[in-house]
Amino acid sequence: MSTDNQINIVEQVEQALKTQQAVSIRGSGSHDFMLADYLENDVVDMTSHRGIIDYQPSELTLKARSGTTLKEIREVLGNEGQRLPTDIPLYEDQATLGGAIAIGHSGSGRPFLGAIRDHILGVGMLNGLGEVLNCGGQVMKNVAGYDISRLLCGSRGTLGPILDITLKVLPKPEHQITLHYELEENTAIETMNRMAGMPLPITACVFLDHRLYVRLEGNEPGLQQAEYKLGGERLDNPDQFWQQVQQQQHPFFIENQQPLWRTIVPTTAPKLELENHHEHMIDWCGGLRWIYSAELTQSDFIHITNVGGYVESFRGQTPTAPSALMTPLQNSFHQKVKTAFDPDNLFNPVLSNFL
Amino acid sequence: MAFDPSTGQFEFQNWDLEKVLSDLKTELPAEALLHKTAQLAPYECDGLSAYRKIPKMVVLPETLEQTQFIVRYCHHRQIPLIARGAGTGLSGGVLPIEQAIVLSLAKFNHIKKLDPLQRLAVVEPGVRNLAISEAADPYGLYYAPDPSSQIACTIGGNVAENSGGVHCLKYGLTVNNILGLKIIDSEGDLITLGGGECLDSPGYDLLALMNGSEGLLGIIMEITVRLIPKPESAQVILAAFDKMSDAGRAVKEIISSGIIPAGLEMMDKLAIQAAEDFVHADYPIAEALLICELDGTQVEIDQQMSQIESLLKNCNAHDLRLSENEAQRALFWAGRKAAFPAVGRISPDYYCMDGTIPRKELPDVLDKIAEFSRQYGLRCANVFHAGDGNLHPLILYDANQEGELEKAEQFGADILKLCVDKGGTITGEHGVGVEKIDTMCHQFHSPELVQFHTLKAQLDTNGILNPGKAIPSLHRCAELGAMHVHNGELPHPEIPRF
Ligand SMILES: Cc1cc2nc3c(=O)[nH]c(=O)nc-3n(C[C@H](O)[C@H](O)[C@H](O)COP(=O)(O)OP(=O)(O)OC[C@H]3O[C@@H](n4cnc5c(N)ncnc54)[C@H](O)[C@@H]3O)c2cc1C
Repeated sequence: MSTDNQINIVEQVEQALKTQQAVSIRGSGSHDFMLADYLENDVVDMTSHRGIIDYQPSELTLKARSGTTLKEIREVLGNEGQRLPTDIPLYEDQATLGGAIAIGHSGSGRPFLGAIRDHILGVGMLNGLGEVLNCGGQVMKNVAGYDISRLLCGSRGTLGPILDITLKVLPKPEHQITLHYELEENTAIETMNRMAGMPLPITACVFLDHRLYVRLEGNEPGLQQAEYKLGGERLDNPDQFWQQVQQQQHPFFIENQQPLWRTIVPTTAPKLELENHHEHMIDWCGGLRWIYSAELTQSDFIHITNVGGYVESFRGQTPTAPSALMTPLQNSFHQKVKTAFDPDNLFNPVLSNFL
Repeated sequence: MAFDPSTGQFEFQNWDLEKVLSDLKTELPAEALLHKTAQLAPYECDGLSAYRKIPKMVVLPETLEQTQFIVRYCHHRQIPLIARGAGTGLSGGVLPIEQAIVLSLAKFNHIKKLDPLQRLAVVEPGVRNLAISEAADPYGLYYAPDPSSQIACTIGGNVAENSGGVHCLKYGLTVNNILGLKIIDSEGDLITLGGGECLDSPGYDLLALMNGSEGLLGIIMEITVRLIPKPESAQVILAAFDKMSDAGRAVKEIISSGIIPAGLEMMDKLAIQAAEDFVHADYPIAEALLICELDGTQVEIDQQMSQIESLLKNCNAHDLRLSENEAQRALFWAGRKAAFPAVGRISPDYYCMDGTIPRKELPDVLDKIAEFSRQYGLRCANVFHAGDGNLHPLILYDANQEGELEKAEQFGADILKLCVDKGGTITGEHGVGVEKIDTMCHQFHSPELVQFHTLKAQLDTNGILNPGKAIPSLHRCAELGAMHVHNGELPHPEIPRF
């Protein structure tokens, strides 16, 4: 499915500029639950601008319009034995590539394969003057001009609509195995960090329900050797496990009705001692802790800050504004960048309240 | 106004040396303030020595507070400030401009923290790239990006240029290996960007923005780098080809096969010959040489290497040589790593280019370079990071011959324009600096250039940080006549053209 809707998007932005009426930039809406209600303005529907523009398997590059679904991209890559270079969380089949970049969240491969931003080669976008900007490119290395493409990761539509994106893609590894171990939490945290420091093809570590899961990818002899070194038990049907984690379809994500908190901490931070918490899961080799809690207490927030991390509401609670997690200087740095791209604050103003 | 964001033009007033010296002495020791010609000479250029200018003054602060004081002072007095690492840059990024103070970060050379379990290090900007890997070595870890200049260049410079190296095909550029930064902004405030010890941070990816910003958006004062486990083993295979096009095809076949080599480099005959004469790396002399390194566990390598060997043979490779031990592997790399100085021995001067193209365009672009070489009557040796399409054509010339430097520059500009026209870029890793400022006009349209200037103007209201580098002014592009014309309309018709 392919439609080029750039003309209409440009027109909508030009209109917004003329009338000084802000617009809401929206993809499929698969992340609306974690964003403040930002749809109060006319919506620029990015799903209408979709389709793969150029895919060169031997160049390891794929260029697609921002409204292309991640699902479609996965399928097309899969047919050539390739994949997106890192797991991108995918909660709904309709989730778009542009939305994934605007949110900027990465899946379990984050500590090993990189974040989504690490695989962006270039973007086309519209700024608040209604001008189309083409930054970066379709080649692996490019340092001409400021890195606008990666800057957009985490921008939540506030710098302007992303029109198209060029990604670096990777060959699918020949094989994948997952080893698992029954461990006490603090031992598991130390173990996964130790393993990550060994020259082994580890691509994910998750701890859940007293169990450490370690994913390894590579060729058969390499994996056999790693398995011999690491011991543990092989998980049956590992694809299903990782898919469920990535798509938040694992029972951990569906059976609990309490608010879910996304907590980012140093990978080696020990078990979080929280006053009011129900259950949790560790991803990113210790760096991401999913926590269920009706409401975190003041001392819980302090504890998380003290271990060097931060926490944001993910689902079921008032969304946390990124600005609430920044120092005043970081806030004003963001505000300056925002002003440089969108001086009239036309794009997603509700999500742009930094100060 | 010192700096006009709509055009990128700037102008700075003359300042009185004695006055500035006495003002700075209130916070800095006299030894940290260099102003005598003999002291200033080492700061007149970087690795691109064709451009030189003695700065009016150099400051060498030792503390964060001193550095903040200097930046604040320059901000208020509207004095341009040029951050400098080791000065190994290849695009004139630290070339002094009129009225500028050079801010050397040489004294900030401490590794503040190295946590093997977390696999990261926190370092000051003047720490040498290789020093990080050396410090991490006892823990079986290293810092992956490895520019050929790694014994000398600083990590601050690496971040400012987003430097690469022969291993970035598999392990990424500087931007992919940095977790956090502390910068001093143009007004002297210290700001933390990125996650630091965390793998994510709220808001825009400002960490990425600082990578490759060439000292124009802030002074990098602290860097948290990612360390990764040293591979258990690594092995190199050399392959010779009678035709460049066969070597180009082999690159494509290897990448398409699903193997990501740790390094995949190519050299042409002139470069092979020069390197062989210089370091005796046991290279077969041929039209093209491919150097392919695989790393991982030995069993993994063995399997992939046999695949690579047969791929190479299918592309008419001959003289395949597989490294049998670490010494031989180092020798095979020695030729490639010494390629620049080796070429320096066969010509009085050379000019190194840095364009990047989609890999599939390799054979075509090499043909065109050979054609330019005939046209200009200048030899050109080709050395490149073939795996990621990053070319380093070395144009040989003699600066003592009237007009040769200009010819070499014109030849280089033609190569860069060709790279852009093939869907690539004018610089893969060396940065724009002053050197490629004109070819930037070929790569970008005016909306992007205006956006770059507006961003800079927001973050540096007085335009003091390394002005005139990296992003050309619109006047400059207009004068060059290279400004892209949209629908027959010139952008910014209000700007006079000459
Ligand atoms: C023989 C040789 C081989 C090379 N090989 C490679 C290679 O393989 N790959 C590659 O990418 N490059 C290579 N280079 C280029 C160069 O080494 C890199 O660009 C390097 O990153 C520059 O580091 P530096 O410390 O010398 O920076 P400098 O040359 O001092 O400065 C470079 C730029 O960074 C800015 N800067 C420096 N420090 C800071 C700071 N703390 N804060 C803000 N801005 C700062 C300067 O203003 C300037 O714009 C090579 C150079 C030589 C001479």
